[in-house]
Amino acid sequence: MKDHDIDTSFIADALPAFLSEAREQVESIEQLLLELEDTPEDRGLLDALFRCAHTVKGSAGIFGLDAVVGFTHHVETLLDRLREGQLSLSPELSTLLLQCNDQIKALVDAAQDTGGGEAEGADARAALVARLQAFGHAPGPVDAAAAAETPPAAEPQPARWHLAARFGAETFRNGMDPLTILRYVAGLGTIPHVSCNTASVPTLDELDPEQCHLGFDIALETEEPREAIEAAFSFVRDDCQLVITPPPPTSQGSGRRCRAWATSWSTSASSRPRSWAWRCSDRTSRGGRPARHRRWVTSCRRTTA
Amino acid sequence: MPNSAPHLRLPQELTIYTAAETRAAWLAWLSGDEALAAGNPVCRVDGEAVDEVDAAGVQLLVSLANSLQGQQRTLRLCNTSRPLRQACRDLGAAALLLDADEGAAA
Repeated sequence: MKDHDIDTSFIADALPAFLSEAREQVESIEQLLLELEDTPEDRGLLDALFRCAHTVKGSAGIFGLDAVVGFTHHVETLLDRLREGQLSLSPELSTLLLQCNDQIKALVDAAQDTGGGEAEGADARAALVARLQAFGHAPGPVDAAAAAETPPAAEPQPARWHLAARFGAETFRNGMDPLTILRYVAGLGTIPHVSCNTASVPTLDELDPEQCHLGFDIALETEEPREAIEAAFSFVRDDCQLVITPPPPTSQGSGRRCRAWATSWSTSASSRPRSWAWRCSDRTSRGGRPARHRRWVTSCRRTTA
Repeated sequence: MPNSAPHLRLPQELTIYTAAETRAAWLAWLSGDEALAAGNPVCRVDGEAVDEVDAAGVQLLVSLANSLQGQQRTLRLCNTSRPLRQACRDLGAAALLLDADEGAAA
């Protein structure tokens, strides 16, 4: 865990809520895998499966639970190939994913006991990762057909996204720190450029120092999907206007992710789905400093894939 | 840039928890700034002491820079601590706040 990134009081306040929600996601993964045994090509179920794993990984990353992030990343990568039709969900693969899900649950349980320390079973997880990777490297129905027609692809290059994030006025008062969020975004890949919109910050005589006026333009090179980028901002969804512009369609290596769309969150977007409502908690005053109120609201299910 | 004495020294903590009191102190400093009276266009701010900083702290620095700009002056951080330098970089404010040499330093 990186001390400078993670507010320890945030961990203490919000970790129980994360653990509870993560266990629900693990249960959903198991249920979805069982449903998929009858309809292994159901895109809706495959999308939901991916989102569950992605949510666990993304939220664990916010809390610095590296073991959860690292292992779930391998599961998520394979699920991404499944939902893109590059792999088929065979009974053998389904069994493997159920075993992986058991390990995710064990890691989540260990996070409760140790605050993020390694759970037992590292060897078992390493073996599962090797099997996941073996599946992932095997040509699927799409790969096999494409291989006969297309020349070998060039080495994948990270796609460059553009993010425009404007944090809301209550960001600081809600206990959020854009610095932590931007550092998390940086962990998704490489940030070759970031600029702060300083013109929107009032002069000292007009500034309410606990009101946030910050906005950023960020270039992000990453191989992660859009959902991973959005997840970095999930804790400020009500306090942030975020526009994500994908890489141009001609970018190498970005493949199916290079679609011409952008997404926008707005503080007035009351119709957003919110299946996660994190608890509110009052932050204890430190040394006479004003007590802070934290409000954690995020969403783990989206209406669009 | 010559190693002239700084006009202002930053506190140890530059976060949301100290933003209100820091703002008040800087406003008082601005109103009695001798460098302004001397017509110095560059305001050197020493950041050596800063060991805790967040986005609210950097925003406060940007606000100070904007105030100085209104006086036709430029804020330049000097002797910056590692946490402050890293925070400015991570928030895309390095070019605005840091001396060129320090902005390039690791």
